[in-house]
Amino acid sequence: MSKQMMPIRAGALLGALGMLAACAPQTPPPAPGPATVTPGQPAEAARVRTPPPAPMPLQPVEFPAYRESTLPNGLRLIVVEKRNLPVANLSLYVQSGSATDPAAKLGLAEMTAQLLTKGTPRRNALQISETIESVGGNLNASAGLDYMSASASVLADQLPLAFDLLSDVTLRPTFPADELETARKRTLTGLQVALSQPGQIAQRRLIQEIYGEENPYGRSTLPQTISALQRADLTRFHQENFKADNALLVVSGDVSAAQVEQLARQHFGAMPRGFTARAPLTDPPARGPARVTLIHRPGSVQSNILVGHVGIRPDNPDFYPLQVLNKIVGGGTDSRLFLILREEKGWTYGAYSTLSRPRNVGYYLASAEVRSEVTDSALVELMNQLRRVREEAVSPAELEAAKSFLAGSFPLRIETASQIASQVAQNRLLGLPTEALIQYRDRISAVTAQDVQRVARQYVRPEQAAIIVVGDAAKVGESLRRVAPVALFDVQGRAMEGSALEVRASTERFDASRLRPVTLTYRVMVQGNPFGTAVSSLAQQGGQWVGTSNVRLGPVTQESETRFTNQMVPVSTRQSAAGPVQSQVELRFANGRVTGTAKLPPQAGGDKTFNTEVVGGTLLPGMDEYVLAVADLQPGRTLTLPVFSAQSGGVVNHTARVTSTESVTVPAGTFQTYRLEVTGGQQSFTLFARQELPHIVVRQEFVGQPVILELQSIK
Amino acid sequence: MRKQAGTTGLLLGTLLLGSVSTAAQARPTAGNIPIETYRMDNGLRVILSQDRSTPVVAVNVWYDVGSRNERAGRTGFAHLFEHMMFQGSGNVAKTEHLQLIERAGGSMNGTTSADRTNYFQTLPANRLNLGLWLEADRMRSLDITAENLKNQQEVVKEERRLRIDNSPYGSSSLAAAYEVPYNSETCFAYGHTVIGSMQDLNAAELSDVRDFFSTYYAPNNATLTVVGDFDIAQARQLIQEYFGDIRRGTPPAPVQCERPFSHLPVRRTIEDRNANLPALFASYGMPDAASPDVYALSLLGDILGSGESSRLHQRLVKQERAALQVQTGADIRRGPGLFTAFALPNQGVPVDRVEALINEEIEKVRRNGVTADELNKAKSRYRARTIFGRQTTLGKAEALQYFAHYHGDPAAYQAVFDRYMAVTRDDIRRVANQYLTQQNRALVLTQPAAKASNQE
Repeated sequence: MSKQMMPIRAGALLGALGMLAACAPQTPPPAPGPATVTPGQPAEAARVRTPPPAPMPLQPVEFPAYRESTLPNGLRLIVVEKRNLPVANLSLYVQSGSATDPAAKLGLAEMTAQLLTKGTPRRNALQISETIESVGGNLNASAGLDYMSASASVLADQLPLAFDLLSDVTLRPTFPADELETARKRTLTGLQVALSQPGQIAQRRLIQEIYGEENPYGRSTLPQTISALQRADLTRFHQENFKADNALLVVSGDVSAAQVEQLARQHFGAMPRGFTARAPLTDPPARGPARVTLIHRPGSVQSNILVGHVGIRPDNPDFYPLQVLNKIVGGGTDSRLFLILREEKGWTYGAYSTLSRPRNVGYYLASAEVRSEVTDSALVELMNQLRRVREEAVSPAELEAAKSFLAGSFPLRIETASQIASQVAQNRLLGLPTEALIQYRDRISAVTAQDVQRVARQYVRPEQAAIIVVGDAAKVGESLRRVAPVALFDVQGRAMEGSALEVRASTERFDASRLRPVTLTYRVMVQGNPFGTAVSSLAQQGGQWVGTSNVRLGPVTQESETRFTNQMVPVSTRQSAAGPVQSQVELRFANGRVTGTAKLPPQAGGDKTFNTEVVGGTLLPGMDEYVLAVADLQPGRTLTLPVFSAQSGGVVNHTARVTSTESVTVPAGTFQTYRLEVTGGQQSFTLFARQELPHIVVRQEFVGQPVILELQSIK
Repeated sequence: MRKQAGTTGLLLGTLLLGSVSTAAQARPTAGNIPIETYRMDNGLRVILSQDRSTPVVAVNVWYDVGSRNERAGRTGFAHLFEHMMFQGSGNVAKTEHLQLIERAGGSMNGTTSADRTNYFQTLPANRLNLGLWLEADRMRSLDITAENLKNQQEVVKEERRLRIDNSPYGSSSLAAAYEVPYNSETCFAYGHTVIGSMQDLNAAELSDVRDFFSTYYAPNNATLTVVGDFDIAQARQLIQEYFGDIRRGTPPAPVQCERPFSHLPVRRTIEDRNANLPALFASYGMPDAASPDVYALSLLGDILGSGESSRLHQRLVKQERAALQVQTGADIRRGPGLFTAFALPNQGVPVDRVEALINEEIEKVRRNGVTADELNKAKSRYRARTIFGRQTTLGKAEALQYFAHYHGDPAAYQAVFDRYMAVTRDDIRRVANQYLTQQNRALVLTQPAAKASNQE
């Protein structure tokens, strides 16, 4: 019973239920142009519009005064007094983040951060959350690339409690084993989802290509490195890095410097010192001429395109003109990439650029998510826009708009005590002088069109960029080769031969006499909790086999009916999904042709009609499970099945690889099974099929989704 | 600390018998907000509150209109109209409002509830004039065209499909918040939903939109609030320049709501083809925002079912494992509000069992009240929410608008806060006995419905 699951989020089922206010949708604005008269009002066409008032003079941002000191143990303390409201934020930063994770233990810093608030000698996880809940405050901990932080926000009169709690969780975490297992499970689930999302696949590959395998900035967490984490690793990581001379305490809000210093000495005075500094990261190796890394995601109707390369170090004064450049090229919905690729050409849902600013060298990235058919054109246009900003000066209007946005939005980011704390801390952690923060707006305002072109020529290098495309290589591969040399990989990052994509007639013969009428009931587990049921039946009807299935999962219902002959030749398939995402597919097979219709959500291809000649041995979707049920399986065997795909409108290869045998226990009993990895369809999954014939599915796991089907009964 | 908290509770109880204003001085405060309020000749109410700590301003307009002002056959109109407000005006092209705000580095949006419609933007201080000019332009000269109307009718219908018709518990939660607990014969104002019915949305005509605009979007039915870093004299002068010549409208008819809960108790089962598990929504009739009882009910909502340490969470989710989720709270409205309870039973647990457990916990409060620790914790949490909510200029502007509309005076924030702090354990027990009764309850049960099968 291999179901094509729609993506679902279990959390959405329990989400906010009381709708009191209905918001106006934030639709992206259309392309700007001369002020136009609203259509449908010809009578007023001659009306003259008054333009909006010009900006009033820019006031200097008076950044709240702050005071820096160092405690005897080497802990740096920054106090920012902002006394307009009785709130306080207390944040401890440690200058070690995921970039310090050992290669075999990627995810260590992140896991350590997650567990800080899960237990101390004085409080267990529930007591920690109750302590902060009872004063209406917030307590958070997280890890980034270069540092980790833990912070508490409270009313100002609760500052002593915040100090007590924050010092407890940061200096004396116990990393309870059961909490580690809970967090590990949650992290693995999240990672699974990430690894199935094209945007994430592309991003992970991009940083790997920009920084190389040796540079920690190029690495990403993997399931095996999360599984490898031991409690002792967390304890050691904490001991080595949570040192006073590697930390920064920022306290902001309605506080007095004297009280804060006294509390800091009391609660953090015993934080040990003696951090062993690590050598700064070396710059990544230079890259050769651009080539395309194409990651094959079969059945994909869109492509994620990323073009990126090394950027600058945080203290580089060219940061300001580069910020302006980034805003003009792709920093928002009125930037060039968005206006051209989306508004003008209509190719994409979005196209943006980003300038990253970590502790060491950052990157510059331009990206777009486009329909498969225009992948090559969109890539060419992205590259053109990167060349254009080098070749011609930006217009005065673009320059003014970008500067006004950057200067204007800055004060909106320093409204609250915790926002201020985070800005000050970031400034310090990047090793920047105080002026960088105070003079941000002046420096942005001083940027000229010449500055932008100078930095474009110096730092924007499309010819040496890493280019990542995640999409259906069968559809986009050929046209991309005309843009640049292409290297092909599967979604797991393994190199692929182009020939693997060719769909060939299948000569496999399957013996339908091995099938038996049956009704199988499954329970659907979401993150380990039962959330729905699925029923799959197979019956003889009018000299044909008829397989039906019905899956109910929260708001989602999926039904299908598949018919095939006693020689296992497909006859028809009907599939429908109801709920938040609706679809309807009806296909028939006869005389070597597939005919039918599909109503799919726009992002999956929209409405379609088919009348397509297909290769011999082509199956209709939904038939794989019956074919696999009668196939000769053994570990090491790989079956390649040509299957018609309504999403792509053609035949794609589904691959079922028998990786091992396993004993699996489900509510229906314990079974000896073959473990099969099935890829090539809209959704990859792992099947555990009974070794005995017919090989009915005992358990099914969906790659990238926290959903598992377990056999409950056989009738 | 626990002991001290207990003592404070007793102290508050004693003080309540005396004068409220004296007591207020001894209690924690929610901080002071400087306020300047005035009314322009055309009736526009203006609230100015200066806070020069960050060069940011919030420009915020509340129109005194929500779904409670709608009549039968024209439900969903207030919200539909909110969408029309982004479709352009005399000097602003369609969707240009958003564009101008974003280019200035600001942010904006608008929302509609039963009680009001709000529009807000946060801008760098030197673009105060832009925010005021944009709000004045659409108050004066909204582009009301057939095309815009048609377009937004479709957008709102899509929003309804997405958020209610195709969303699990969407229709049940709305029924429990509006249609079932309120007697729609005598209190249509709250007896229908904000989003409205598809039929009514289809029926909206251009003349309705024009009438609605001239009645409810006139300056005498609006309140403009400016909070943040600005010069008061300059702001007054800009407001006069942009809003001064907008003409006053005829005052809207008052909202009618009589005996809203006279039909209770009610029990209704709603079939939901999007839901996979049953759910329970209980709504108890409550007085309006002006009654001091709502403060006690609000704190009781916190104690009973907000957060992991709340009574219902501990009992139903932790101990009995009868529910996946449970929460309670007070839905305070300008008119009569609701005390609400929501529970999602665990798979295999009958809804009746969950209902019985909730009743049991409510009964305990009715009989024994709550502890001083619980009450103090709820007060601290209320105080923290109140203050944290005012950290941004937008949050502060919204708070002042709230008090201006729900209590008639933006400065009421202080008196209301004092009222919360003055709630006693006796008050909690009394309101539990008075309002949380089976007689005063509308119960909505969600029943997962079989989906239409298309199999032969």
